[in-house]
Amino acid sequence: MSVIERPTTGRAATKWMRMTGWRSHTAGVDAAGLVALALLVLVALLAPVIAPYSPILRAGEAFLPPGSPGHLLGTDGVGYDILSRMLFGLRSSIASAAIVITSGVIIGGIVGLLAGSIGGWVDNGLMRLTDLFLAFPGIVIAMTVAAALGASFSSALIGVAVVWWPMYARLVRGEVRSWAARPHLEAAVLAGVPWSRRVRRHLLPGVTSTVVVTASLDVGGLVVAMSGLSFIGLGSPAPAPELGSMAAQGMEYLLQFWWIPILPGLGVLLLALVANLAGDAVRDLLSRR
Amino acid sequence: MIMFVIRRIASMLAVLLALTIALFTLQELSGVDPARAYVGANASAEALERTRVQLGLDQPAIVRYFDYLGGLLHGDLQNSLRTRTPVADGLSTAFPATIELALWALGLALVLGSIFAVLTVVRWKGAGVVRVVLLSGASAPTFLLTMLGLLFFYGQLGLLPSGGRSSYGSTSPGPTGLFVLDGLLAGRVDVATDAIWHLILPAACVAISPAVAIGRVLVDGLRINLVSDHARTARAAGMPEGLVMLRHAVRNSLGATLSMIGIQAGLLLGGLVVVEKIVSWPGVGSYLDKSVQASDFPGIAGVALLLGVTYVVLNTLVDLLQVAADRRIALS
Repeated sequence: MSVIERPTTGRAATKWMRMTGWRSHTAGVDAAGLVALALLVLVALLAPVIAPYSPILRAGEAFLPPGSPGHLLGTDGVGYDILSRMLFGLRSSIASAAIVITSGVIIGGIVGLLAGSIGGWVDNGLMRLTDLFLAFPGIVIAMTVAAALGASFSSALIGVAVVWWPMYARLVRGEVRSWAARPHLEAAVLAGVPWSRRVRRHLLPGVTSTVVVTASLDVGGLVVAMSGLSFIGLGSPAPAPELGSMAAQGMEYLLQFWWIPILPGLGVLLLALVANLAGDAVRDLLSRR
Repeated sequence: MIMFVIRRIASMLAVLLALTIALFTLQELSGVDPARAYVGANASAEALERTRVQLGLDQPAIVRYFDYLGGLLHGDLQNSLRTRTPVADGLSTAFPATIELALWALGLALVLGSIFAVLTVVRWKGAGVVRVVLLSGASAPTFLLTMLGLLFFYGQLGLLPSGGRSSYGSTSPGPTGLFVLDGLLAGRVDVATDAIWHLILPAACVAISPAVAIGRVLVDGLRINLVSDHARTARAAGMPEGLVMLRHAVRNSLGATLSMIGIQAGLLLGGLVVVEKIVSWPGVGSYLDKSVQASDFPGIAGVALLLGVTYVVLNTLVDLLQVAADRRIALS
């Protein structure tokens, strides 16, 4: 039935998109994105080994420009080595994005799965709750939660995690409902297959690829959002190396020593761009199947 | 239709109530002692205890919540730990500054997004370049864009001011607190143009990422509508392509775009806070930043409430507008 009733405008639009090259990623771009992300993750994991200096100890004279001997990216107003701090900052950015995405997928996945597969008042209640969270401006709530718990790395994570799950809950619920309406699941219900087995064998595998695609497309935005939180002081407190707070602390030197606040910002941009490319790659790979 | 409006407003009130409960709970979690804030750090234990009873802080949480809610309804957002003055006073001077910046940012986002969408859809040759620039802009953290903007337009060219709202002092020459509007109302064109020069950089930096999101939704809508049956019929009847675009494609794409604007308005708030901090814009974001630096939770909660209420009310309005534009939505 769904095959026959596919709306013609939709098909025409896809054709149009193909014609105009909107979202025409080649396999080369996809591969480059994935490789670049893998490299960044590797560099972040190896930060303690690669970093030439400690991120929180004076490494030399202050205000050394990029390219100075021994300090590839220069030093900041205290004399910290910027490259070392950025490597550790990258590490903390990647770690926090991974933690928030994982927690969002797990919490949102459980809520969506329960709501979509049980239905009835459970569905109603859980979705009301989800809608409530979605009705707030997420970033403001994240800031408030992080501030209430006191500025620290884990507060920022909790703050963002609190607002990051509802999108997944809604997505998973929708997917589960559409899967549950398919003939093989109706047959499973009639055959008396228990709920837990239906979820495990039929629903979970069905929603996984959609969730993975959405989650991988989210990483870039999440990295940027969390760097914003760190920038206004909601993150690990001072000397801890975070890209956002590094930029904030270097702000006063912007006009004389531009590299101090700009380089950490470029670090965030690099990570976000690579994450977006890799996210597109994941989408292309999974949707081609 | 009327039922829809009533339901939508009721749900808005429920959301706002939930917001106050959330903020109250967070305040309890934050461990801030309002009595301490009231009397100051050096007060005696006795005075502290007296104030605590006076303020009703010895009551159970539920009673205190209703006190808090009652206070909110009278515009009492508690006292700031940082300035020891009412949060509401601080925010009432900061809010117009943020409103002005936000309106300009949203307007710019709409203009940029529409230009981007139309150029893409009519397959203008340079659209690819515009797309790459906007997309990388949207991937960049707002603080990076703003700093690069300052570095170039202030540091290198000396074209734009380094920050602040106006070169004519901090009070607006008119009743609305919006410098551009007030400047024009008071016949002070110099004040208005000066305010625009101050607005351009921060507004543009906040606008880029919503512009891309709005542009994308608009592109999808335009593409689908341009190849739709009614557009084809209009063309067959001899309607010029420009009119088809305007009457049949743009108009039918407005609904989804409007929803996107509502969503983006929420995301824009995060960008505003960051930008205000960098260009010392005397708005709600700077207030929040100062509150965060001073661990002043009542100040933070006041900002969250103000922005939360603005966002929720705005989104309700967007929904109602959509129904006004397309009654079918109310039925579904």
